[in-house]
Amino acid sequence: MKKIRVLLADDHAVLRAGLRALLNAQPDIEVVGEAGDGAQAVQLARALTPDIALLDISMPGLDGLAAVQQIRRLCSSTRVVVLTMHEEEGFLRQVLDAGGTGYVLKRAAETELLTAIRAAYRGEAFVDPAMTRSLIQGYLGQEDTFGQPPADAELSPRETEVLALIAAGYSNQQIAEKLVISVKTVETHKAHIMEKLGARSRVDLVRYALDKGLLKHP
Amino acid sequence: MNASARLASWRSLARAWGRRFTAASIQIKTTGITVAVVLLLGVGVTWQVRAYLARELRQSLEERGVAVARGLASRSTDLVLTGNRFGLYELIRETIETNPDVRYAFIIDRDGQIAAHSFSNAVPPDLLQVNQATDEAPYRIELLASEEGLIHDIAVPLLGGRAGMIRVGLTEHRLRAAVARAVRALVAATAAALLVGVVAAILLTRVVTQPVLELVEVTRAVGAGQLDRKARRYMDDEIGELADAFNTMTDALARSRDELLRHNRELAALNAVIVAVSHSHDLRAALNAALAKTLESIPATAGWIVLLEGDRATLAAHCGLPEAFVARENSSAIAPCHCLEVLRTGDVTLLPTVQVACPRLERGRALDGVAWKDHLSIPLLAKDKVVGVMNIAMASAQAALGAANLSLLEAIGQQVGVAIENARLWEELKQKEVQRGQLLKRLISAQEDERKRIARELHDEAGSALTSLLVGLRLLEQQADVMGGLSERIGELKETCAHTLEGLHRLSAELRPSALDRLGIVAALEQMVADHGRRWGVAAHFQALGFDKFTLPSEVASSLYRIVQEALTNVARHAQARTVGVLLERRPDAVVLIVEDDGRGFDPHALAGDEGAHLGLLGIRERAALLGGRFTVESAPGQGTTLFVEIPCGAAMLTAACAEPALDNQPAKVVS
Repeated sequence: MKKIRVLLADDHAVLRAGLRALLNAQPDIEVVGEAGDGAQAVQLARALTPDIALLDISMPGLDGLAAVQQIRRLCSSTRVVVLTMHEEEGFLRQVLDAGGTGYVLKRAAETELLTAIRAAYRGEAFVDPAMTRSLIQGYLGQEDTFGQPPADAELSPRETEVLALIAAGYSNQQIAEKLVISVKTVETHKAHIMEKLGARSRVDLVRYALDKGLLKHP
Repeated sequence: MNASARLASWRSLARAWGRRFTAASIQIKTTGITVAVVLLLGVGVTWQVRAYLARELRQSLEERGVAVARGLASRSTDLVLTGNRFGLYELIRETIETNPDVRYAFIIDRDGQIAAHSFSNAVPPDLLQVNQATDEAPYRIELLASEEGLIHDIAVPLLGGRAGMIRVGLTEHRLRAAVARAVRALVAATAAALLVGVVAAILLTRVVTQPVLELVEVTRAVGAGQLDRKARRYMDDEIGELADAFNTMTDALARSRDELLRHNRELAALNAVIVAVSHSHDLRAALNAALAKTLESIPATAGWIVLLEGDRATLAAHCGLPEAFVARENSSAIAPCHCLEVLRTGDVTLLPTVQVACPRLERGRALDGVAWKDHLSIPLLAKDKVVGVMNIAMASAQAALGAANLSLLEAIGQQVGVAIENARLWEELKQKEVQRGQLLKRLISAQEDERKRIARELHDEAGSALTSLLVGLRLLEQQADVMGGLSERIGELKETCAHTLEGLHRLSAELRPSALDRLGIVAALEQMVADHGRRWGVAAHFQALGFDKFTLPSEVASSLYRIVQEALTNVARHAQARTVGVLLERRPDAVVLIVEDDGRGFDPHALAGDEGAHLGLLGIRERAALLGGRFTVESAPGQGTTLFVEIPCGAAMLTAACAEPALDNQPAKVVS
């Protein structure tokens, strides 16, 4: 049976040794090379053309992300799985943008890594379940943040004016000064606007204003 | 109604005339009164004299006429009886010649015929009809109006009318001439009296009004400020006394005005010095200005200020001194002199004083052409401590300055002293403030660096080690399948390991999220807000505006990140909020960060109560201030809290974000 040829790239030798032992213990996987930094990883990937390159994002010298891009560009047959400590969605997005196929968190290395490598070998994308959960939650949360305001929501010209200033990030005091009205009046306007639009926070107001083109931003 | 209206109009007319009269000058009044009195007297006397004279003369004329007629009658009786016409004519002619007032005479005989007459032709017939004498009366007089004026016609019967009648006509011609002469004389006398009266009146009013007018003129001049004008004393009368009293008054006025002016000058000088020293935080400039103002107020042309800086006395300000002198004074150790002695000992009681023959000026005279020999020393006092001396150079004759001036100079000295002290304190404060800011900045950046290092160490090194442990355990688990009980133990170890890794990850993210460095402020804040919402079970929203193309300078980004971290910690600890919103907006000239919650709020003016929240807000304010930003809190009990942080950040400060902002400025990783 043809084994999945894996290139290991991590700046921590101990981790590399552990991973190598784990991967080599699998009947269908063999580690063909090891790199201590990004540049070396790219070089080895070109030389060995492995099926899978397993990369850490944080590496000295050439950064992991850049390495992902280069490897994808230079040897298109190699699929990249990232093994990382970073749980921020931003990193996941960057990895996917750079052409990575799999994203595994280090804390789930012993359970998810093998699945990820096998999936990537089959040409399937793999994202650590812990990350997908947060992704989906974030996505749902985003949707949830602010529904459409009631159709009959209609703001008076003064309220629209106040809304534009609130959305532009001015404090009640500043708005009061700009419109030459009292702070109390601004607060009343704001309460009315929130009620009419069904908004729960200033963020909702900003999004609404953005939607209605009340904000002119550079 | 009509009558009362007329009365009213008369009254108003009278009032108008009264006003016109009282408004006229004294000269016109006096002259007018004199003229009126003299005229009235003259006219009255003339009138009376004329009437009286006319009456008297007329009476005597008639008496004379009666006498003439009677004489004529007695002399003509015989002639009438004898019919001697010639005699009668002679008699009539004689009578007319001897009595110029007799206009005519004629004799009527007992038959009623004209016996003789004085007319050239015949007796006018209408004359015969009038004045028929009766027998009873000795004579009868009738006044006849004729072309020649009044005629007194006298009829005297002859022998009781039996022998006829005598008629004599007397004309008033001479009488009127006499009266006219008398009237003319009286009018002339009145005119003369009038002339004399007017001249006398003018002279009198001159005598009275001349001093008064002059007094008026002097009063006006004094009113216009010429307090040195004096009123002349013409005579020793009431006006003379008035002039004396007036002069006494103006003397007193002049004295008090001089006093006031002096006070005013002193105050103005003091004020000028105060303004000069308070307008500038630059000590040298303030001292120079104060010195210039002081010299102006004395007035003097040259002076200098010596300050004690440490042990060394330096010429801190000077005016009107040769450069060479100043340079010499500042370059070498200054020869001991009295004012330096005062400076060193701080003995205020010796000042202010006149320094005669100052050794320094003496040397200046010899070497640099300094023109003065003496100077005045004024202590510059701050909290009763001598901090310097202001010296004003003078020619020796000038040296005797009034005590009042000295007190002014003393006051100036105190002001300048306070200004020196203030400037020093200000300088010190400014330096301290700068130092504090620098220290704080360094502290914060050192803290950030340290956190970054520790976070990376934890994340990368410890994380990798734990991961390899996890992987090793997994391997062990596979190999130890056969040995019962052991795999369970390995599973527990793996659990612990994974748990530790997770904690490690969170700790390092809190210390310094790699997202901030590698993904930028927007992604980092988004992550933090989302984590906050998950962790505390509140609705947490984040929105960034205007950061699509730009990213912030790293110190601004870290500060904003820490501010949000602090603010969210505050919200979690104190606010009991259900919703939290974080907004990051870019304006053309600034970045605005808003953290809002709908929690219980507080009174921003009474923050002292909650020490933790207070310190948190202080930290936010401090971070914002270090970036030159502004921090505002809007909150009220039950109203939620909104924090505004506005950091000036023009377009020039924003760096264009590249596709992967993290790659280019990522520093080399620390591998230990």
